[in-house]
Amino acid sequence: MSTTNQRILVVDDEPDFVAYLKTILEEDGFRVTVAFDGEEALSCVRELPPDLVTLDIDMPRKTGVLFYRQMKSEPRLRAIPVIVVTGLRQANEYAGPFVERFFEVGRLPLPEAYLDKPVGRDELLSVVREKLAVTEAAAAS
Amino acid sequence: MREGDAPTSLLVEYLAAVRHAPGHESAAWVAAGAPVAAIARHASAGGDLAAMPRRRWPTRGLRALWYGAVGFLFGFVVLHPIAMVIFRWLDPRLAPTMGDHGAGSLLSPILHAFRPEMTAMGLVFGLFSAAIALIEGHYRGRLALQRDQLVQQAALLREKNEQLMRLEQANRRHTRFMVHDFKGHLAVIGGFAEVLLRKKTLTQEPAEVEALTRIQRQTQRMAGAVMDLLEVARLERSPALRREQTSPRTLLETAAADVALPAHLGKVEVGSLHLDCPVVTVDTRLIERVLVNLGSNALKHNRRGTRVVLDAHPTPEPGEIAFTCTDNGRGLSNVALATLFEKFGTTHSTEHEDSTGLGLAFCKKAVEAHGGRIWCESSEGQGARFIFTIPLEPKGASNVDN
Repeated sequence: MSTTNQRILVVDDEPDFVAYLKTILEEDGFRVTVAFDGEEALSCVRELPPDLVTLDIDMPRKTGVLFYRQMKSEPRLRAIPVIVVTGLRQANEYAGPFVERFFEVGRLPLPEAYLDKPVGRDELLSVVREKLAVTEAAAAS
Repeated sequence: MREGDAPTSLLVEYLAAVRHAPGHESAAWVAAGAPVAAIARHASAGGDLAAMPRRRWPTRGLRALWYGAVGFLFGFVVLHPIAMVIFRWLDPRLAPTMGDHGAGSLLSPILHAFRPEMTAMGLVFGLFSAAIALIEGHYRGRLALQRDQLVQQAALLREKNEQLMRLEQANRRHTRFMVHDFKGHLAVIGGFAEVLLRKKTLTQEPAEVEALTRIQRQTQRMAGAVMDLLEVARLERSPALRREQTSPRTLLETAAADVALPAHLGKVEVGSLHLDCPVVTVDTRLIERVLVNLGSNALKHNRRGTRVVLDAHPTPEPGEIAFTCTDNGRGLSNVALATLFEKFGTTHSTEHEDSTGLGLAFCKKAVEAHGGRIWCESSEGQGARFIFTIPLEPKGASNVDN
């Protein structure tokens, strides 16, 4: 499909799921880097800021929320769109609002999108393209 | 039984309280004659049980002595004079011997009872009464003991009950998270099958494509069952929906094309009545799943080649539309119809039983969460039609923002 040079960082502690997202995104022409926990993800982002991040919440060492807060508090990285890909919102009906409230703490921008696991190929790609288009438009103007 | 009936729970409270009162034997307390109701009342009023009046009997002998003495005194002082009064009344000829020369005086027979020559008679009454009191005391003691055992058993039962309930809750929680994990794993399996199927080099290998398709289909079916399980549990806890506007046509067509349907068993078609239907506001995922469940049920429970038609039509009642799933299979008996929608209530009459029966329970829950109804019209041998209604104006459960 389209061959962009856009770089996407996939953050999830489940290697198979990371591989799955990586395969789908690479097939679609994105360049993908992966990280398996928050620490790793943070160093990745600082080293080479990607165009977009897909983020799991429930991870060892540093949760997705902590990573998100640190990333969004750095002005240089704030504009990078983040898609939260989690199964937590469906695990029970209380977790959903709870998860979203996590991100509302502090004066940080909210994640650009939420996707519920299991995530389908078309769903993921359309959301990724949409968010990338938004940031591109913002950068152009 | 969570609440327990009031008296039992009061007793249990009482027992729990006395158990923790140091150096106290509840049996002795009850044996002393404190009525259980009074104890329970005292306990429920938040009273300090240790401060409640009670009599203790250090030994059984002392208690017997007390009961005997009280009984004897009662016989001698009360029963004996009363008996004299009654004797005099029954036989007026006795009056002169009792020193009663006037007519009808009550006092004379009573006084007569306390004359020295009547002591023997008084002793007889006293001993008789003492014997009864002793027997009464003995049984009262035994009753108290049994009552106490009962109270202990009730407490034990409640403890076990609570333990079971905690276990059940933990079990449910674990199951939920486990099932939830399954969903993630299945998604990865299914996803990779899809990724591989898209590879161009593979299309030259029909066997591999078929194998991958099978993997994909089985994964979808399992994911569907997992979703039923999760959704039934979720809807039982709170019937919140993620509604969006959609046309019945989209719902029907997506459902009929679902890969989880056992397509090798028969065909699922979409009828034409739905074209008259307006747009509905439903939880698409749920309603699609209901349609898929009904469709695959119809295929699974009938002979190969059964024709299944999914359709929708406006009902005579305004403000709702009805979805139908009609098959030309063998139909259902009245017995089967009665238990159809119960959780795990399969009818056990099909040749190839491979469903858990959760599917229809899920359908019922999902439809009811939308404020609709679901039922089945069928007679044996003449096919079956499952119908569920969906109100056009969302009612029932509140909406959740997606």
